[in-house]
Amino acid sequence: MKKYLIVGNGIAGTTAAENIRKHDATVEITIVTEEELPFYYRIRLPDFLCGEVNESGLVAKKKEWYQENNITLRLSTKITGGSVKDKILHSSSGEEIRFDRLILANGSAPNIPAISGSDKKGVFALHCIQDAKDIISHASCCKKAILIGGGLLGLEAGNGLKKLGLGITVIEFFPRLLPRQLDSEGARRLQSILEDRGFSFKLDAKTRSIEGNEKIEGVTLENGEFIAADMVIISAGVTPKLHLAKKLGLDCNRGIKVDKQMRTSHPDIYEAGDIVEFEGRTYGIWPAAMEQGKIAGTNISGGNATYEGTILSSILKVAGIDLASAGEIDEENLHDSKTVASETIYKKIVLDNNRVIGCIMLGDRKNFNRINRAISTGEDILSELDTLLAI
Amino acid sequence: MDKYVCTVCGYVYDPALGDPDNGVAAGTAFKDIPDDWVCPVCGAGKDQFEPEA
Repeated sequence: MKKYLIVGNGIAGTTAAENIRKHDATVEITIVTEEELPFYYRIRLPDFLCGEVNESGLVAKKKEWYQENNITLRLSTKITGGSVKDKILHSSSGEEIRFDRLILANGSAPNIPAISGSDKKGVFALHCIQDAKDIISHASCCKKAILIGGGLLGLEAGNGLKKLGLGITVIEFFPRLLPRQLDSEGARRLQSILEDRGFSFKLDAKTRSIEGNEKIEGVTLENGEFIAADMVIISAGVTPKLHLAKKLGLDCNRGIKVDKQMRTSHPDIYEAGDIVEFEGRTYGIWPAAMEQGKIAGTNISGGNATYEGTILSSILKVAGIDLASAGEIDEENLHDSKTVASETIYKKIVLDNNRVIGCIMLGDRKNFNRINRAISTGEDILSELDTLLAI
Repeated sequence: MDKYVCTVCGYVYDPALGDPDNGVAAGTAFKDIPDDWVCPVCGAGKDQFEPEA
């Protein structure tokens, strides 16, 4: 019987397994992962941080799901290398795991910028459940946290820590918050909302060093300014984990190169998720990983599906703030756009040849689903725009 | 009819729109969506949704 092996049990690997099973009721499917939990909602880790969801609520697929679908899940198993020719992977315990076909979905690791002191105790990145547990246990004796990186995850993690009672300062390299999701006007408004909630910001700022010996004392910026804190969270994006792919001799650049069928440079090895480089681009976002997992699982088991890329679409999950953004946000004013604004609401639609190619909705994200779909499909919704944008 | 928000990714289910791409017709109340329906954005189950505040 054919053996399908999947490395990684995040949204990409799990969705791939689910789709292999849909196409073939009998093949052997094994998922190996370094994680200690079955598939969980990684993007809810900020909620876990502040106790809004517990560990069992975070777990998306319970053990029973794997049994019902006849999928073998091997937790806490690190893959160290393997041989494509022999179709074998090696685990850190020295075991050999055979496969006929392989899907690499082993994801990404947090970027840690070259800042002096980033290896100190009390400096964290929030990427997996263990990171969250480490942060929670450390935060209990802290009053002030610094977040390096003002992206979505940074702001959500900051909000989680704020709920635990910590003071939060965000240091962002860009002159505005969420540079991929917001134009200057949107970012200015979001910043003021977050400042009202007690966040402090240092924008257009670069961290020179993290200070402290036994205990973190704060950070020094490039301009010499010192900001006191007891802990530091770095959220500076993610990088594909290419170690295994390189050992297997797969064609890699920033990620593992993939074709539209989600196949790597080896015909029996597919891939999905953060590890993928598709047409020169790495995504690092949940919906892209889900879509790619579906396509990799379908195609590896004999189906025929094509990946066309994923539109960047994000929603800030901070309670009480309605913010959604998708596609091209046109910070440079290169396109036509339509904006509607009031004191509390800012909406912008970006147009190219009468097609909607992006939007920002702050303060009210009514009709976001509809607009987001039109961005993906290219459907003409020009005649509805005024209604869709109405405040 | 009430809207429901996905606690995982923030997607909002709007009964007026339904989720026609996945077989849920416009006008379907959240409680009437089949139990095996998942969030079209992130794949979370129906139990991960909460009424919109």
